[in-house]
Amino acid sequence: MEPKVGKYILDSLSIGMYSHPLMLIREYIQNSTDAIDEAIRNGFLSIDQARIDIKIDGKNRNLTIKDNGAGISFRNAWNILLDLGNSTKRINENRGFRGIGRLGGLGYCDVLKFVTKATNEDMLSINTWNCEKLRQLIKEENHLDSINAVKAATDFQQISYKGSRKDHFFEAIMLDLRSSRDILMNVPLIKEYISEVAPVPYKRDKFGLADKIEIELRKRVPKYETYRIFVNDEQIFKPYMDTVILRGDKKDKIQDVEFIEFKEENMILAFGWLAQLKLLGSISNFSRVGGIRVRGGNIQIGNRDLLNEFFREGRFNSYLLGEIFTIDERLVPNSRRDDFEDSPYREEFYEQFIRRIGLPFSKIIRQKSQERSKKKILDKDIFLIDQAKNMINTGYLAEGQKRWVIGALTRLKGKNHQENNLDEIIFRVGQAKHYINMNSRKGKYRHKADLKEILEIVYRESEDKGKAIKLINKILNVSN
Amino acid sequence: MNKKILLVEPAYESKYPPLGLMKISTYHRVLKNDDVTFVKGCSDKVRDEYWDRVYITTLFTYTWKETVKTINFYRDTLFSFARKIYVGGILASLMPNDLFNVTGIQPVVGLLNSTQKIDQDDDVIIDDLPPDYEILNQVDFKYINTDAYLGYATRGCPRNCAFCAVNKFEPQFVPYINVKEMIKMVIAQSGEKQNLLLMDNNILCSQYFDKIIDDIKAAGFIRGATFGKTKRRRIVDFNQGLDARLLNDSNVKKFSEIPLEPMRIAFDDIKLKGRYMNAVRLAHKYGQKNMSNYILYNYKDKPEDFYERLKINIRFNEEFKKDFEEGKGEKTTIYSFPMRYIPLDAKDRNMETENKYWNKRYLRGVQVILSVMKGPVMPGAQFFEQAFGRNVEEFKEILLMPDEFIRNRVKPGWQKIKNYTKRLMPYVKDWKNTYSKLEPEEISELIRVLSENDIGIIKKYYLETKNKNIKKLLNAHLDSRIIISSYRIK
Repeated sequence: MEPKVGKYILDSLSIGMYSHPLMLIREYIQNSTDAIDEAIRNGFLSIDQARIDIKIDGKNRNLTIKDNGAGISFRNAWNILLDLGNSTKRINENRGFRGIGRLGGLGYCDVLKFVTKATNEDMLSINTWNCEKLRQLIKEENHLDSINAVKAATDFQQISYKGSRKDHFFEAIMLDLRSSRDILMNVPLIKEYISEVAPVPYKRDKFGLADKIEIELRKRVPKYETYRIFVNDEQIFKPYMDTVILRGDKKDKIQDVEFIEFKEENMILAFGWLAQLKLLGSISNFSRVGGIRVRGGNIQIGNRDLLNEFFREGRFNSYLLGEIFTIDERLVPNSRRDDFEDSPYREEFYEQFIRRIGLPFSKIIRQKSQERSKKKILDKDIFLIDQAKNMINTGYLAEGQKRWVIGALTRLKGKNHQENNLDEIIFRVGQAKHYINMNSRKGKYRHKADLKEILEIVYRESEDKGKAIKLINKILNVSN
Repeated sequence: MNKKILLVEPAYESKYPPLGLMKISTYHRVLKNDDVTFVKGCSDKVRDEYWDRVYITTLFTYTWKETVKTINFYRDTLFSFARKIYVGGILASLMPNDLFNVTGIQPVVGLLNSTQKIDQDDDVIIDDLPPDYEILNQVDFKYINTDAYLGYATRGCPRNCAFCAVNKFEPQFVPYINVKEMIKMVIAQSGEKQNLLLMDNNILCSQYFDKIIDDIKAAGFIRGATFGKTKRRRIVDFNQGLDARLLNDSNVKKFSEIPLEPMRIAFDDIKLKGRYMNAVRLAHKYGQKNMSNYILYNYKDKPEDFYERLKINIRFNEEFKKDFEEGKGEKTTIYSFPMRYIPLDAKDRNMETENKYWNKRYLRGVQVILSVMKGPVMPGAQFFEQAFGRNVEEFKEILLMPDEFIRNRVKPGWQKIKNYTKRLMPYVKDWKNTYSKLEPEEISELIRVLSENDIGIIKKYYLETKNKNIKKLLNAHLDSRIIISSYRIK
């Protein structure tokens, strides 16, 4: 008896692996960066020449991801492209190491093709996966195991290469894309996703602190690197900018950055930067910079919510902005890259996060928010008293306003407000006359009566009485 | 790096300082130089800080709800890092698995008498350390006996009474612990204390009894000893009570060498009447001034014998008072301290027991009488008879009254009114009058309706019954407050 690896394992390793189709793009980028690193190590490529090109062809429904990394030598190509979970990559040199990432595309297209060439060789290796057929084989009743299913659904060719002998590349081609809501065709979404997740550079013209951060990261994070990645020929950058858009039409500006090191005894787990903000509120989701992000090999681990649970309230994470880069190699992303593999290092990483960021910032954010709500109440009180004084000086605008202001002032008196002549104000508001003086000879009586009626209606029918007063002032052409 | 340690006592009522936490504080604060914080209950203030370890103590099982709430609060405070939370104490030792199932934290069971229990990196036996009194200043909560050496001269109890939990959390009887040494360590760490509070569960089982008393004397607790410039009397208290069956002439005589105030003898069962009375007489013989004796009820006893046990103490008080006035001995005063039995696995105070003689109405009635006296039963006969009734029949009648009636039975200044009936408030007179008209089977019927002490049941029966007298008594239960206020208005 021999243990068997059934065909369903292919299902789990491909379509079942990633919870979102965009993640497979991340997997291909990860492989590309590893290949680029290898080419640089071997001396036939510089980081400035390196590039990853993502082309999305809406007309033909194709997506290709091509890099000018080391490629795969024609001698090893068959093994490397057809073996499953048998990567030759080393964990401390590469971002990917499990040998399953490239299968992510199987679930989202009809044909998946890998085309590659190593430098100083003449042969081009082409490996084609008939995804439709593979899915069929997995679904139907047969006795195929994983290996036989792969054999039946794949094709491997090597042909002579027409271009320059020096060329080296790897290209993943997905033909006839099929993804829910056509996410893999959504170019803007893909660009945003890559800008957040992939190891792309900061946008120096929009983000003044980019150089400061970059210099520090290159010093402190071993093997820190950024890559030129293009989507339909447009280079992608990280989304950070000096201006931070907050929810509710508010803005903040990054004043400076603070660097943080997660260190336990002699072990340095991670290093990162944190933007200095006024902590006025949640950062808008659309700006795609909110929340502290965790990155391994400069590729994001998890999403912007990964660290939410390490704050007193999850939403506090979205008040902050920054990146933490893992350093210790024992801090390993899990195969879905939505968190780390469980280990004492992961535990320590999160403990350090709680201690250094989660708890202290929870405290500060809560205090600031309490101060703001106190001030809001104070502002409201000031507005109320101003309104009352206006009514005393120039008359009230609607019967409802008079009633409401007297009620609100009485409530304010109960709260021991600092304004000490509230009693007098209440009395004088009670005595106040209407703004429109019916007894005066100025203006036509009927005209004034109509206007009075209009003001009554405006005040009565408005849900926000403050806005009603502003509107009435506009009608009356009184500056506020 | 110094660790940040948080000690927590859930927000239940507790008279005595949390000795276990105090010892843990000595371990961390004094020995390891860690930063120790003590809080009572769920404190929002500590949530913004980082804690390396949290220790939560537990006490009675009936504080279950509060305890679980507290543990879960701190688990959440530590972002579910359960391994950093240590839960111990009595409840935790009695029901560790139940606690695990609702908190996900496996409690530390029993004493901290091994280094394995809380992942120590040294060989300190925490249970042997002196308590750290400093932490008590960190909370507003007022404990009693903070000016006392707190400790043990023995551990555990060789008996295995079914109503008692001691065997579960201190299964090993340790017959001797050096009290002198313990006191020395406390003095070195926290300075001198006036009193000595020993929480031994059955000191009389120790073959080293005489030696222990000599240790206590050597530490400065000789009868008549005073403390400080103001010469306050020093006292020794074995607050868990003494076993009446083991008291004899020689050990009572030995006890008389130390200022035992009060002596507490357990009178758990009417069957022990003979030996209990013998023990009290011995204490009297050797000049014991105050006694505060534990009266267990709702275990296997009946209300009748509960009353009798209280009455025995009252008779003793009368007798000793007379003796004293005739110059024939010490005026020994006995307070009775009724202790309601609650099953060892009860998660609240109202758990059913198997006792058929007591019911919820009776238990509630006793509770109301005791609450008027704030706990112990006074030694005076007049007071006792007024509170508990002149005989067992009257006692049971009182228990059936509405709570408000029990509480407000007599007129102000009743002590000056000679006639017993004239002392009573009119509505109580009324109640007694109606009650006296009931036939025995009607009394049983009334008890049946009231036994659950459930206003819904009473209301339902009130609407159904045709029996005028019962209806009237049930109405008093439904409208007791209105009845009392209407009398007050008159």
